[in-house]
Amino acid sequence: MNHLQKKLNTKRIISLTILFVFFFYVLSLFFARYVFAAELDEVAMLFERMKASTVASSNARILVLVKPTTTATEANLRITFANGFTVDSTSTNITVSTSGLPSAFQAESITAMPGIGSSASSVSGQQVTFTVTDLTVGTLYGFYITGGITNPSTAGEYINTVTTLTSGATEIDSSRIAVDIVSDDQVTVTAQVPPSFNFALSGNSIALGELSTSSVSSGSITIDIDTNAENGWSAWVKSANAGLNSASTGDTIDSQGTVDGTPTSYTAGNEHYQLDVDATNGTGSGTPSVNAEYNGSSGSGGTLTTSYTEIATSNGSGNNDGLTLTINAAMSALNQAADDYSDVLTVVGAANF
Amino acid sequence: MIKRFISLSFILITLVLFNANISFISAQKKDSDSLDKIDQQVETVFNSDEITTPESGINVTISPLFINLFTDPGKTVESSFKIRNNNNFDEYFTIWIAKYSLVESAERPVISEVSSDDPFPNWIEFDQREFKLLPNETKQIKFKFTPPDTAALGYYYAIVISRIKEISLQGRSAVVSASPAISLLAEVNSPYAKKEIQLLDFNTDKVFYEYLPVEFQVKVSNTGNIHLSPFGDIFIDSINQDNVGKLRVNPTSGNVLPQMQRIYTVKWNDGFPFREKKDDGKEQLVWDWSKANKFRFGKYTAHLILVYDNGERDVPIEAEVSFWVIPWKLILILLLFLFFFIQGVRLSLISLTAKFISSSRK
Repeated sequence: MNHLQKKLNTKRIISLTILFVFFFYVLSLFFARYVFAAELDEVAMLFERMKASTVASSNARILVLVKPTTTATEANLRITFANGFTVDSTSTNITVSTSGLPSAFQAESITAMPGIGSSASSVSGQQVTFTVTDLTVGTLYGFYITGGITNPSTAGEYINTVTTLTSGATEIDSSRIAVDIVSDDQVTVTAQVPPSFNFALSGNSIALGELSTSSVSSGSITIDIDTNAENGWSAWVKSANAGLNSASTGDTIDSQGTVDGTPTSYTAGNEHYQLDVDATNGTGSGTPSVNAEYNGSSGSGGTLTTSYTEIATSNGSGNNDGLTLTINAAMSALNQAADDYSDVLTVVGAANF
Repeated sequence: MIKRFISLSFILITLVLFNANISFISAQKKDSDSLDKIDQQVETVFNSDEITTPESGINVTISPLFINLFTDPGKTVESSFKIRNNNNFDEYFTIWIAKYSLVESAERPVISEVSSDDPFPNWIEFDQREFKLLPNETKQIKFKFTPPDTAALGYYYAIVISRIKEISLQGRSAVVSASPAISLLAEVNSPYAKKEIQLLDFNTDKVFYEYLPVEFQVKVSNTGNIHLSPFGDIFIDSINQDNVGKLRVNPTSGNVLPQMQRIYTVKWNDGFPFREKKDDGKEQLVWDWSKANKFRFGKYTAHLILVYDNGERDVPIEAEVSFWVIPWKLILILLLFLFFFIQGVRLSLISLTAKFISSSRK
């Protein structure tokens, strides 16, 4: 009897267990279909500023991206911010915008969220609801939150929930999304720009060719000056011989005139060795100007001496300030024949103090 | 006899040796004296064969722009500068010292070679007087400045960097050797230092302006014996409003050397509209509507407050200048517009009145 009762009890337990399992299985199917929303196909919340306590603004936007899974008629989108986020209790202060959305996210086109308006439609605690219009499955929608949300004050991972809703507040799709908040998301870059003076010559000699009594020989060289010197720069020139000197004959084709602030006139057939300087103004606050002595024209040029003489100056910084040094020379009938007439010009440049 | 000979020989040898020693000491003294004067002879680091002839012109960047040194007599101060070779070939450089000659009442000093009796170059000791720079290489050159106990007040020199070797002289040409320089303003503390600035002129380049900018010129003279860097502000008042503009004078701390003059130029262009100089040198009128409330019209007065440190306190210098801004073309156009508008209204009224009278007569 006891054995029979035990057997019967065992059967009952097994039957009850099977019945229970079946019942809960059926119940779970019912809930899955009608109570829990599906996961959104894609969802992202991208913070332009992940720094703790940052208030969303037009310069610190939160990009919300949503791609629906379920075919339904969406009317609202709800974001439940994790505890720690400060959510403005006035819905109109939670501002949104679809202006300036990126064209794509991970190579997928972004469509502006339809019907989003300019602010949230309602707020309840951490839940913020936005009005939207019907969304298409498989389309990635986006919008910016530009105000009303403040990042948590403590760095860490926070879970927000994004849900699409029908007009009757039935959840359609819903996904949880992890958001990282960091103590500082910007690197301060500091740098020093040292004061500098760049001095570059286009070449290292001025070839004059064969000098004659019937024409004036010319040759030039350019100097490029780049400096951030706010007081500008100055340049001086010195001639080794104050003329073109021939070592073989001992004769010199002299530079004519004196340094008196006025260029000296010259003509072919008359011995001369004159310097003409032209300045070009690059960018920067300074304006280069040529010393009147060397501001020659066709037929006149400054006198070269064995002392340093200022040729040009600038009153401010300059990039690509240029000086063109042109030598005009000719021999007279009395100059001795030789092919070694030469000179060394030393140009010194320095920033003004 | 032999003893006497030996004694005399000994005395003679001693005298010769003593004399030789005196000559040696004298020679040594002479060398030392010549060192005290000038010796910019550079210890040769490179063999002449080692130094390649440069392919093209020099292209270097130096930093800083100028160096201010301040020390006591006999006390060493250290400083440094950097030089970069921007060429794509090796460069061999040498350092030499040039002097700024002060020209009384001039605006800028003139650079010149140091004379043989100028001791200043010997007060500077570079860690390298000759050096090589690879393409795009930057080198820091350190130096020590040790003025003697007798040194005092200001010394104005330049550290000049030149190539050791330029291309050889060729006929019918001029070799051009370029040398960038770093100015060196050294002040050696002295109880005889006189720090004094005098304002020579505070003026505008014109009395009447159509539009801004207004250019102020602050001309000062250093009547002391040490370089100074005065600074200050210009405050601009209009007839009905104070402080419509504030401008900084000498924001870049430009120095005035002793016995020299300097003009600081300051521009006021905070107005609507204002003229701006383009890169090609031509002027254009800029209509920045965000500054529409800064339409300048009428008489303005600029007050200058310039300050310099005389070693004990800041000494203020004050001056004032007035000028006018009258945008006459703009006003003329407005008046013409107003005239034609009033005329138009007047004629319309006359016409309407005539019509009204004629219709009422009918």
